[in-house]
Amino acid sequence: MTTATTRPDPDFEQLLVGVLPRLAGSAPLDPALDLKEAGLDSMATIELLVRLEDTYEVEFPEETLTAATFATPAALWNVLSAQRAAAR
Amino acid sequence: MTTQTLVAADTVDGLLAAAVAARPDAPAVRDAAGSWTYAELDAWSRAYADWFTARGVGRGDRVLARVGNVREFTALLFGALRRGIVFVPVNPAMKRFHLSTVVPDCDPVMLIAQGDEDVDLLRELTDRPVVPLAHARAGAEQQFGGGVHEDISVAPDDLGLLIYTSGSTSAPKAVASPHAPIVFAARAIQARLQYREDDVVLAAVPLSFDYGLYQIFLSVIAGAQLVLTEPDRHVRLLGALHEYGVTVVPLVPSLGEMLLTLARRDRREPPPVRLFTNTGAALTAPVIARLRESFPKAQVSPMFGTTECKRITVLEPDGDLERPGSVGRALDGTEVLVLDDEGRPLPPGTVGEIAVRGPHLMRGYWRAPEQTALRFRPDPATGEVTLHTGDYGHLDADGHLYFEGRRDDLFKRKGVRMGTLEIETAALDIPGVAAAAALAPADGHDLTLHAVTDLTPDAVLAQLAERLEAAKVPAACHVLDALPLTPNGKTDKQRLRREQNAGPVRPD
Repeated sequence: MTTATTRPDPDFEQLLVGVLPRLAGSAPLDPALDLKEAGLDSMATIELLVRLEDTYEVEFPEETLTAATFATPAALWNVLSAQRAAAR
Repeated sequence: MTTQTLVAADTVDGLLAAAVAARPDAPAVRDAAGSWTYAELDAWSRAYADWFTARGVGRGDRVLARVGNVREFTALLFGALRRGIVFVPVNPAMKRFHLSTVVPDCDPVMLIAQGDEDVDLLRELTDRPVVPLAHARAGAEQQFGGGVHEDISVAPDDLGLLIYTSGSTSAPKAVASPHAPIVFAARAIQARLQYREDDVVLAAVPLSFDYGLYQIFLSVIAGAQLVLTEPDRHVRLLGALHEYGVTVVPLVPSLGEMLLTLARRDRREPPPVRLFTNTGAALTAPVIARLRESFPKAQVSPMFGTTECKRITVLEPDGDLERPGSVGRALDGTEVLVLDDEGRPLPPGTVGEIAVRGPHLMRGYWRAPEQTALRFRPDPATGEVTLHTGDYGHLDADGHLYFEGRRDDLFKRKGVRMGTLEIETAALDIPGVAAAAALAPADGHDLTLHAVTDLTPDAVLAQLAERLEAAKVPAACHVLDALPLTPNGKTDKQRLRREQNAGPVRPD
């Protein structure tokens, strides 16, 4: 899967901040931020997954539903971009 | 197989021996890394037992295990119990604040921890050996199949577990659990729930929480397969149900919520879940209804309990359809009572303190005679011990229990008696409210609702006013992105209350 790593769009950051209220006001987000440390627990992860799928009209395949996918904004954006590319 | 006859029937290790004798090659336990049959679980538990013995850990010694939902937990557990060692499971999410009380309180001869950080933290709190799980595994591997040490004869009265309860108001304290009441409770729960040998039981709740821990015993009694998952894999929870063909799912509300959210985006046929059980914190009627929609083959069994006697009541599967809100009848061979402030039994329909008698009562609190005397009260005439739970509720005419709340959750406002539970249930009935926690009036704050929703606070309150009499409508509603949870998945109301008292909600 070739993923042209584009820059995250503002919607993406907003969705992240939406489930991680602690990050409010700290945009732009550090792409390497440890999301678990920032408060992304399992409940927030699932909420974020659903919001990303709704917003970008994509579906995260089962094998992408791992801790690694949700580790950092950069990792998540890469997986999301791959799904968007696949959906086109 | 020859050891089978030597094992006392009423010990926890005896449960495993029976399962191994009956179904040695059946799958027993699975985690992210693989699975064991009953014979393998038995062999590994013996290897860990031999490793304990080689390290000089013996009968009555405590071993603290800060280990998550992995197979090694089950082998350590049975390994300790078959040598009369007292097993002390501690949630990996427990913070230093509580650990610094728990470690000296249980006074373990050895501590086992999963991650490097956990090892470092524990080493700061004790000078006893802290063994990384990987080292323990290596030690057990060396013993594996050797069988150099004999199992001792464990007595039903021997202490098996110390289970630390979250201690909603005070420092954590341990419930001292001997083998006999553990085995009695597990068998009585199984008699009501009827796990089958072809069941695949999910333990997504922590094994350090007695709800998770007893899934091990229930599965072993039934000869079923237990599937262990860790919190960082919850995003794949539904995938796990599909992949492993999970049929029984024990739920706390947060887990139910996650499962329902995941089910909404899942296009596959629903997984083969046949039974949801619930305890710890109650699933509300709307959540139960949504579970039935998403998992049409599943029945639902609400239960009620307290670590001090493990389980108090179990409602038979789908009993809620006939008796909504009930948590069921007392376990067979036990008694549940509702008492007034003087300890006299109250008639059906009247709310009082829930009290319990029977062979499932544990021994009391570990090294805390005063707290034990307060809750475990012997009858002056008969000497029979009654457990006073501190929980409030009522019975119906047929002995079905209805839980109303802790004493703090029940209050009078504008002359009307009410509980936070009914307000939360009404809030969850509002479309768009995903989670809700009501805080009773206290510390200068009026009744307050905390809700997870996209609605505005005013809209939530307006819709609540359509569902509740005026006195029960909270004075304020705060919208949160998520409710704070305790490590066991219950709403952390103490934290909500602290944040409320501290002013604006702050991150920790």
